[in-house]
Amino acid sequence: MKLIITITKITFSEYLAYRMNFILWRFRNFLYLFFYYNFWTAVYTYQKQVGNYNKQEIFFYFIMSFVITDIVFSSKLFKLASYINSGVLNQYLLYPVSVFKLMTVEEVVDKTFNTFFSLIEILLFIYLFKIEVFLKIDFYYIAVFILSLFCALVLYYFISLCISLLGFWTNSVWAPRFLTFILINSLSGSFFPLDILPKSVFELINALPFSVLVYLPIQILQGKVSLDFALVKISIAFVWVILFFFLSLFMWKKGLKSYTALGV
Amino acid sequence: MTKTIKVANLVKNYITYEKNTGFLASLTSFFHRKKKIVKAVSDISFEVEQGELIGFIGPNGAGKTTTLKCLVGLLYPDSGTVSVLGFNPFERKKEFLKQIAFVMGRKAQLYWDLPAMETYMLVRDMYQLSESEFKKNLNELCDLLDFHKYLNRPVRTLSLGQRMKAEIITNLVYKPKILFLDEPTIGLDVVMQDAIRDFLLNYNKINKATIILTSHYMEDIESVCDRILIIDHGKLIYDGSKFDLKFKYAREKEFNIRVSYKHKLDKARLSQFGKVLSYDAKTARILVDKDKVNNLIKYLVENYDIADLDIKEPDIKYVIKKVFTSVKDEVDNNNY
Repeated sequence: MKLIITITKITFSEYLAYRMNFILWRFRNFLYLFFYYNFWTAVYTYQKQVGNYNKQEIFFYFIMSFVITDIVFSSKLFKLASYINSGVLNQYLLYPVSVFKLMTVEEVVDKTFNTFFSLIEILLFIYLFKIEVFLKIDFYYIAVFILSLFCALVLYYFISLCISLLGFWTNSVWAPRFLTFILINSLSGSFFPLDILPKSVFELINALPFSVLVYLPIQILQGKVSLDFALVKISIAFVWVILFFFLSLFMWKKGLKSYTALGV
Repeated sequence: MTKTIKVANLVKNYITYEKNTGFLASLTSFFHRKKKIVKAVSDISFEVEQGELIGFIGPNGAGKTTTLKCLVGLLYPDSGTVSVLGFNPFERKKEFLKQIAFVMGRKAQLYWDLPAMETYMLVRDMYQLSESEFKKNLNELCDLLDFHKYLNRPVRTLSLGQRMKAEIITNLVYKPKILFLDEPTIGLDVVMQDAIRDFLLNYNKINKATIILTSHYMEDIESVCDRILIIDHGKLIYDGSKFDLKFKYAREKEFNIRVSYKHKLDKARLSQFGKVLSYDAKTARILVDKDKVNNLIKYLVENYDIADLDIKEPDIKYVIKKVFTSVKDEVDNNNY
């Protein structure tokens, strides 16, 4: 517990070490929101419905996708690849605390900060632009939403871990990281609701694990899917979690044996 | 004495990829890379007792840092066995990691934008030190290294020497039993180098800690270490005391002679005793074989009015150079 508190303090101090960076970083998020607001406003100027979504529903979707993306995709884990390449991993390996315990704590602290600030920004945005919120206020829906969000967090954790661990075999993980980032962002529904795509494309994307990351939690929150369907999707996602967990474990063990500990 | 480190037949190879220069070579290497196996450490064995001060020296790329990395468990040996404090380092057990420290001269473990104190607090919690123990150790280290006034300054504002001190404190605040230092004085000015050396000697004396350091500065080895391990091309070519090394490889004494104004030194006669390094009639510097030392003293006393005479051992830098030259000669001779 003491370790968690210390890491929290350090992460917070690091955020605030460069105040201007921090302010601009948060302002960037506000600009994103503003851009999406204008984009969807323009789309709904000429039509009343896009797929199953009216204007208010789509506004709620993009606001929620903004919050969930910030919670799920904000990850410090990608640093692990550069740690491997530059030899910074050495210091983590010499600590008497597991690398993953340390990075997970850092990750949780980081996500907590992100969520906190995102919520403030969103509430401010909703207030300023007078956006109606369509929330399915039902205990079971909220509970399944929380479960799906947890599943999304764990799944993304292990996906990014696997990509970072590629650092053991390549000097730069920039290309796979960039490709995954674009792929996951597009296929998870963080840009737009996946069901506005043609049916065949939507079904193909739905068969992959990524829609669980953003699209599914919002669908549950909006009450657009049945609880049974949501639970089946979450169960399948957990199978993906297990697969990525074992893949990352295998990569870690194999990678450490070939690790050259360069950089020092 | 307890053996804290046991290394037997350690072998570690690296795989690297070769690439020729030029656009065509870059294009070819994109599809096919030429693999090359570099032998970093080949078949080295040694043992270390608790409290020993060891200098691990050798030219760049000799295998020093690779050996240290195998000893702390960062690298997995290709073959051979390594035991440190009874542990297999590569398993990286908590109890093992709490008792060792690896100070890397070129790498900072500290949070760059935050004061060093924040890193120390993290170390305190990771190593589960009590508040009183932490404060006591930190005070002791800050006293020894004169670091109190820098504790709350962001690391990025510290000078290289201050950062090195900060780094040493990070690694020692939990009082490790074995200290591995990879070029701890690199880039530091002479005053700071001396401060680090004095500190290491004190730390060894107070805590009975084993210290193994690599350095290209022979002054580090001369003033800190009792035992020397010399490694070249991945092979251990010397393992013994500093005194034995000089005895084995430095068969000469250096004479610095100055005679009174009435006399003039006879260069031809002096060169019969050894190699004349410098000469200007009143003064001379000669490298004399140990067997001829008495004869030279006798000759000087009988023939000159001596104003000053200084006889000393050649410095460690000269001795190490001789070790590498003689090993190279042996290798060359074996090749013929």
